[in-house]
Amino acid sequence: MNVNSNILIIGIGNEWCGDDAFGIYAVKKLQKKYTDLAQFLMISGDLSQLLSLWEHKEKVIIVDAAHSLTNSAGHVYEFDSYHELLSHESVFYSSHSFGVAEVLRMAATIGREPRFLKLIGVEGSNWQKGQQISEAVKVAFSRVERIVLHYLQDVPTSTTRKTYQ
Amino acid sequence: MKNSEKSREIKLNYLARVEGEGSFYVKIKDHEVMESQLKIFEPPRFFEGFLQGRSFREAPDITARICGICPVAYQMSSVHALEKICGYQATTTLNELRRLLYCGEWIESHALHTFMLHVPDFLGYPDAIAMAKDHKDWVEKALYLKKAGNDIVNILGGREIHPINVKVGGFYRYPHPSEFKNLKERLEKAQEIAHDAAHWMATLEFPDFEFDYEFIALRNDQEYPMNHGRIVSNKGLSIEAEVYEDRFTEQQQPYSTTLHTWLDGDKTVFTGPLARFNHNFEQLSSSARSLAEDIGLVPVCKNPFKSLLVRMIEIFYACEEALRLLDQYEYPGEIKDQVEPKSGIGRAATEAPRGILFHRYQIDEKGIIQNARIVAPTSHNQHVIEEDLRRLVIQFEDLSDELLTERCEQAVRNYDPCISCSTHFLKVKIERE
Repeated sequence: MNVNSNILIIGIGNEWCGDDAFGIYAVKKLQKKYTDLAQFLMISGDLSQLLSLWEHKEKVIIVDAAHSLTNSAGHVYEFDSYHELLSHESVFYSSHSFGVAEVLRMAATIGREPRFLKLIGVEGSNWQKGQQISEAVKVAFSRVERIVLHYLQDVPTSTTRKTYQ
Repeated sequence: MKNSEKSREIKLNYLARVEGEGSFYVKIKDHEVMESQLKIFEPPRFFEGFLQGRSFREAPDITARICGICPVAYQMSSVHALEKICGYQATTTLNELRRLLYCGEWIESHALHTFMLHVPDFLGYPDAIAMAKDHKDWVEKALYLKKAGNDIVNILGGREIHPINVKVGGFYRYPHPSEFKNLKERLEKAQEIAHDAAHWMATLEFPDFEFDYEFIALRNDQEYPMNHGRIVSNKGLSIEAEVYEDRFTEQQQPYSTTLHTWLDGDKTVFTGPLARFNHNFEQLSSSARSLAEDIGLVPVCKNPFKSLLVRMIEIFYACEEALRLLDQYEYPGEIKDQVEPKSGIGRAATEAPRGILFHRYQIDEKGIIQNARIVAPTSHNQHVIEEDLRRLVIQFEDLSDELLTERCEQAVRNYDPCISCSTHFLKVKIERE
């Protein structure tokens, strides 16, 4: 079995905090179904190491839970560029929570962005410690899977944001 | 924020660059601090409860999950405590590999804290991203350093985050020396970066702020402490981990979900890199001592802001030490030995990047954990942080509310607190009457 090491698929989340676990949940499922399609990585702690881990990768896909307060649970966001994420003003990070937006901002500042990046976010609703992922969020997996497979076949270069309901 | 002639209130709703969720409140009246509280409101995490009823063999993996930045420390304290119960004596090779793993964690944790979390305070940047625009070179070097630490943890621990290769009695798999081949070059360069960074950081402006702290750290005759040593202080304490609980007690504070740790009932202690450095300067390598002296850092250093410099010295030393350990590593082959359980109680303390981490376990004859107790470095430092803030707001009372608040945040970061480890972020509110 030859794993395609040019592609890195990263799931981010905390498995013990309800819908925050979605990134881990989705990437574990993807890894099980498409083992040799890419390298898979699950992260629940310090994200600053992504700046090193995605070096030399052709394509990087990040799957994470999202919290917009405007869409309902299970809504899928798809970003093909940093621009919208980088427009956020607030920066909060710590040893443990150098978050996705901060990593991308730092990457853009020092020129360490991956060449092709896809960020997929799924709106969550329940962030309680010790809780399971909501069913409404789990069902978004099939859309996430479709986006990942489509992206790997045809790297988009547009900077438009697409949403799927 | 509000000011009046005799009273003043400063409120910071979110202190970034510390781990966890909390707030700080101080009330000043007629130039005296009436109240200071480090309020931790993050919910408790019940890891000690999770451990009950589990096999002693699971403790290193379960406790590693307490912290994403210092999992090795949790693994080390747990295996040492459990091996004491089982009467297991680690071989020299095992002790050296555990020290190598700890070097990796110190390098990655200190590199992240110094460059990304603390240096922006000294240079007047709101965060590391803003700093990176003007100091891209240093940020690149910090990432290089951090990667060196990550690589050690990855090879020896099985993966970079929450390593999985540590077990009671050793490692599940011992790396072949060829796996370390590329690491030596990276560590040599990392050591050079740490050397240059120490000189650069020594040029930063450090607040004139000293106090006669009771520093606690491990100390032993053989080496700069990571895994082994007596718990000592500069005010007479010298104990083994076995009697830790006779001297250190934890107390609940009504405003905090983190237990505060006290020595002998009411004494405030200071643990972490500065304490280690002050107690163990002679155990550093000659090159690390020379570097410290060259940048004007000698024991006893009583300025907590200079913890920044000590962390760089410790990175330099950990790179050097890792290289030494790699040079003398002899591959032990596959080891199938398994530690057999015995009933009893075991205690151990090791030096996490942030200071002393104490573990105690009671297991039965089948190795099932009956109860466990974990005291994180930040629990030890909770009270000294509160006291520093009390002293700081008086010493720097003439500063504007904004600058005083920033200085308070910087002071908290001296301790690199991991609030989530101790349960668990910081809002700062200073009220002046």
